[in-house]
Amino acid sequence: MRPARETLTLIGHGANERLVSDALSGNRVPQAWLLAGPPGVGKATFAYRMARFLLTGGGAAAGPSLFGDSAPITSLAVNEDHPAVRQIAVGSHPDLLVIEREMDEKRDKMKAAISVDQVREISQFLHLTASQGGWRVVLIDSADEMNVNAANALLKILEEPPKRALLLLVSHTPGRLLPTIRSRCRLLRFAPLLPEEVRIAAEAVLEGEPLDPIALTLSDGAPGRALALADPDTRSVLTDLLALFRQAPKCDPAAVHGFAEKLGKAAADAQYRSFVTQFDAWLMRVIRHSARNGRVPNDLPGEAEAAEAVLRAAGSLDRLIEVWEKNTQLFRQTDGLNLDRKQAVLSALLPLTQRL
Amino acid sequence: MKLTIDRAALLKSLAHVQSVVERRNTIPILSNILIEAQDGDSVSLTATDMDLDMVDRVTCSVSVPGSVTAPAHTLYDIVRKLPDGASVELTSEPEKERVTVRAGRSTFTLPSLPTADFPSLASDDLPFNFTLSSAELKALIDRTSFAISTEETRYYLNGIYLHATQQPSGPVMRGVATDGHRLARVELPLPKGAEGIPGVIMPRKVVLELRKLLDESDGAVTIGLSETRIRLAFGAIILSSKLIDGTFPDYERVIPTGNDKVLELNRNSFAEAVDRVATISTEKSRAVKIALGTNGLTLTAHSPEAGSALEELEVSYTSSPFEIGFNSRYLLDILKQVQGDVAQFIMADAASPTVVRDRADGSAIYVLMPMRV
Repeated sequence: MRPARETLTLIGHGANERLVSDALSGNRVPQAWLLAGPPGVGKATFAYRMARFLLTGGGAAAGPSLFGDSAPITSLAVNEDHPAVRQIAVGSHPDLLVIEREMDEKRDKMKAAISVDQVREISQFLHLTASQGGWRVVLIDSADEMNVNAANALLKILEEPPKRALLLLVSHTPGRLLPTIRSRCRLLRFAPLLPEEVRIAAEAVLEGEPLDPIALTLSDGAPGRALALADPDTRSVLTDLLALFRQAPKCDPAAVHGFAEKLGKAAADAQYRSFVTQFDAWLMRVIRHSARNGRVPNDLPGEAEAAEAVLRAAGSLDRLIEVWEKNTQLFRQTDGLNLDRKQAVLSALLPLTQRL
Repeated sequence: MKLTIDRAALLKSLAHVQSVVERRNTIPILSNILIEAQDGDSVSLTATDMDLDMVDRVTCSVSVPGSVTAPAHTLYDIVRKLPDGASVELTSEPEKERVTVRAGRSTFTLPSLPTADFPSLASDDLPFNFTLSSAELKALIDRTSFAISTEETRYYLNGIYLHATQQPSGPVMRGVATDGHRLARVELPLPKGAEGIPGVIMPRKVVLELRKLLDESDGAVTIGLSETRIRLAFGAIILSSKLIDGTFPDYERVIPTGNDKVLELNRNSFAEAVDRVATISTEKSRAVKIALGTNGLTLTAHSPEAGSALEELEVSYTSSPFEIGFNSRYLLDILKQVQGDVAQFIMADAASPTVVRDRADGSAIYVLMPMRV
């Protein structure tokens, strides 16, 4: 999958692009932006687009005009041949600092959170002048992953950013950020895209290959999610899950354990992540359709049957919603507290695969 | 690209530039150096950590001009281990993304990243350009750098403040550093071209890197300056860096002008005495007490664990007797920078800042905050 830092085209989010363009033209640029919306919808792609625009000299090129009304900025598109575009893509632009979760080399996996030391790098970065003399951009992807200390350290920076510095915070769940962080940022909401836009955006990344319709169905308007679902390595997780659910409420305990065992392995990180997303997306879909008193359409092979079985196992729609909420919480805790993944998967599946 | 270069020349140049490259890098291209061979007979090696970059130019024989990137530390280690007097051949194969190093019967093939990934260095002309001799710059750095603060909360003190100002003797360039307990101010006659330079704070990292390189250089140093960048060129090396984006405090305010108690002493014997007496003072405070009277100076230190020390010195002092305490390490740092034989301490009382200067040379003054002892 192509990372956001390399994606030059933006599909949808036209209103946000206009909003940012206007802010930049008006010479009153908010120094901190909170880009909020569901995962995979294009927030990071948009953030990189803003960074690229500013770091290629956009917004300041013409300078003020005689009449104080320099031509307004209408698009954040940049010249693709500008050397900065390439440097931003490989992370070597001296005026862009990207803060992401780091690799824990001792354990050979991604760290669970963005640490306070990483956030302190931001102040060091902003205490030096810009290498090219223009803007300095800091991108935090995602702000949700900061631990408490990191969030507090960031607050200090947000209070008094230096001139010509821009902070871009990507957040999937802005409601869970510190209210003091939220209040210091200009909010930019990212709504789900239309199915057609998702298809165009995803196929641009797949380089002409058609997008799997199943992935499109489950994408919830987020191209990133559609691409994750279309990944052949993780596709089988959903197929396996549906096969398991079709046996509900009399699933073979050995099969459930086997499924959880597989996802709990340290090497199966991608599969586990994709399970969490897909499980959540699919349950949401069952709940949504059932709530409308309809049957779940058979968009995925054997889906309708599996949905019925899961509802039967849960007992009622109310119970299913409860289970779904509980599971969202459970997976969050599993990440936050570093709990055993196999047990988490088992606890999530138990109320849906067995009548207790 | 294809070139042949003498091992010793390459090693020297690599030793310079690789010191900029950080050992651990999450961004792969930053652990590489950029090797550019234009037409002619020289190659430039560039390394950067995105804040600071260094370019070194070496003579070699270029058979095919071009450019390539190579892992800095690996290349340095290889060249270091090659026999002295060897001739090294560097060949790039951009289509295979690798670079080959050949010397005698050894061949190494190293991975290479596209040159376009390498951070571009700001090459635009800087508005102010002037020249200092390497000795002047060395003196400016040595006499101030010890006072640079390492405290990150006061980041604007993490460097040497360089600016131009007017003195009765004429226009001067000043270097100032302070950490809140001590301050060092050095003046040089303002070089041509430095009229109207913006006040800039040169980060500690550049200062240290520059100081290392100045040991090997004795020519002139050409300095280019803008509000956001500094570039230092000497010999074949160009060092260029971001600056600290902050306002240096109004340091003139803390340099006392009304102190009246003048103490003059032999720099060497005083430094030795302070060093001896400080053996006793506690590791943490390093405090020594100076008692001044009509019959000389008494230096004492007390520590509940280590005992006490006392040493007497003959000094020239005519004002009223009084006592004052200092951090011995700070005293020694300053005394080390006093070049002449006689150091002058100009004091007010035990709680106010003391001015230290070289009696023979007014270009540098130091301000030291006393300790309560």
